Amino acid sequence: MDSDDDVLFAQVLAARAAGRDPGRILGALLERWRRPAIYVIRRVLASYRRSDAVDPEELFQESACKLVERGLDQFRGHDEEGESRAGAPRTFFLRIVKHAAIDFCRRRREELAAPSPDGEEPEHQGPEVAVAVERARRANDREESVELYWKAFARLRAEHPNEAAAWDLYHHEEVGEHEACAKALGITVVNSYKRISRAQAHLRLFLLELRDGTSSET
Amino acid sequence: MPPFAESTLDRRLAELGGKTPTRVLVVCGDAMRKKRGEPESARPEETERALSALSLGDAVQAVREADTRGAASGLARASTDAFEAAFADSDEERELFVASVMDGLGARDRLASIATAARARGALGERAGEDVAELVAATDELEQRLQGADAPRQAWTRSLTAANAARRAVLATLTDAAASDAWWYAARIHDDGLLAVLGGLVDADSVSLGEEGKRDVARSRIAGSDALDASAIKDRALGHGDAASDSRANRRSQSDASLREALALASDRSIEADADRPV
Repeated sequence: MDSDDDVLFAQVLAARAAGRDPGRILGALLERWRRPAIYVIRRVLASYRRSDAVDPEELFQESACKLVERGLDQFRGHDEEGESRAGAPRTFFLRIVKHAAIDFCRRRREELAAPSPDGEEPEHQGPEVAVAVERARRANDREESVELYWKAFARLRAEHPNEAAAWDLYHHEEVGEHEACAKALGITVVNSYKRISRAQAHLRLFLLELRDGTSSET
Repeated sequence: MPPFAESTLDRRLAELGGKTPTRVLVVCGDAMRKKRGEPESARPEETERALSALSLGDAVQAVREADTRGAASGLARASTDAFEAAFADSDEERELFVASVMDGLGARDRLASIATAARARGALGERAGEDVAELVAATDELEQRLQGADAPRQAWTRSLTAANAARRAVLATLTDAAASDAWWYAARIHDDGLLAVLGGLVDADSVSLGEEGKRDVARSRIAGSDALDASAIKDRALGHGDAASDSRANRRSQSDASLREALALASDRSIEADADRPV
């Protein structure tokens, strides 16, 4: 079964590389993976006590979209590094499914935790499909922003390590105040302010270059 | 004493160290690109006389030897020093960096002058019945090389905004045609406060920003910590996380039970391994 998956998946990648539409083969492959994917989704939903919060089929479709939009390229990148492993495409897809389910549950928890502006819950959320599409769009935008952010941060670390260290401490490790940051880095508080400002300006310039497609990142 | 011995052109050539074909092209091109009345401008008959005195062979060689790599590195240096100018500690330090920026931009500007003067020399030769094909081809090739040298301009010009006052001063001396070509002086000339805003030193509302600057500020917003958490979970679930992002996520999860739970689920490979069980 896994070797059949590998063959079909290789055909999908080959079709994409040749500029052909891999839709039919991919559809067949996703049908084979539907049952284990639904299992993964149900298990994650159960862990979060959200079993009734969403139709698992919706998350399966969202995962399929992620596989098509980004996953195929990501998987291909991994494949170049080492030998092909039997069953790897299926496991890779199930991990995308798991991530989508975890992400949904965390999002859902945040939505439930946030009070509505007028203190009343809306009677209904609008057409389900539109809501799902909008949610998927926002999730994709957010993922793209985050991906670009880490690329920009990697460039900051390579080109301006002192600023990157200060930024990492202040924002990623959430030290959050300059006195502690300065102490940890062995610099003055003024220099901590300066490094964070410079880091932020560099990061935002790098982000713009990445969005423009003109990054000189090596 | 020749009739134009005291002209602007001769004075400038003397300042640059004496007459060479390259310097004649630079000085004539500069003069042609300046508005009438500017100190470095010259009467058309003066530039024509100086260019006519330059042989076609010398002009071709000077154009071919034009240092486009030097111009590209001058632009890159200008961009770096402009960033430093934006975050300088004192006015004095800022002035030093801005002077270095203008020096770097000047390297690119000189090549624009060479191209302008070479075109003019070609036109004069054509009128005089000379074969100018080689000069025209060399100038075409120079302009192509310049396009390559200018390629990262979009990245450079954002930083150059920190030297906008000095750039504006030079831009004001150029003819309209020259100003519209001189992106190294003209681009983002209305976005003076861009770097200060990007660095969080000031709010976007409190400085002068043009439309492009406002758009850049909006497009460069940095993802919040929720989005970074989601990224850590995704990396963990897909097995993409490197040691640095793993340890960062682990540290953050110490103070966030929800993130801890999500990361534990993302790490739990038994979920996928077990996925063939009946649902």
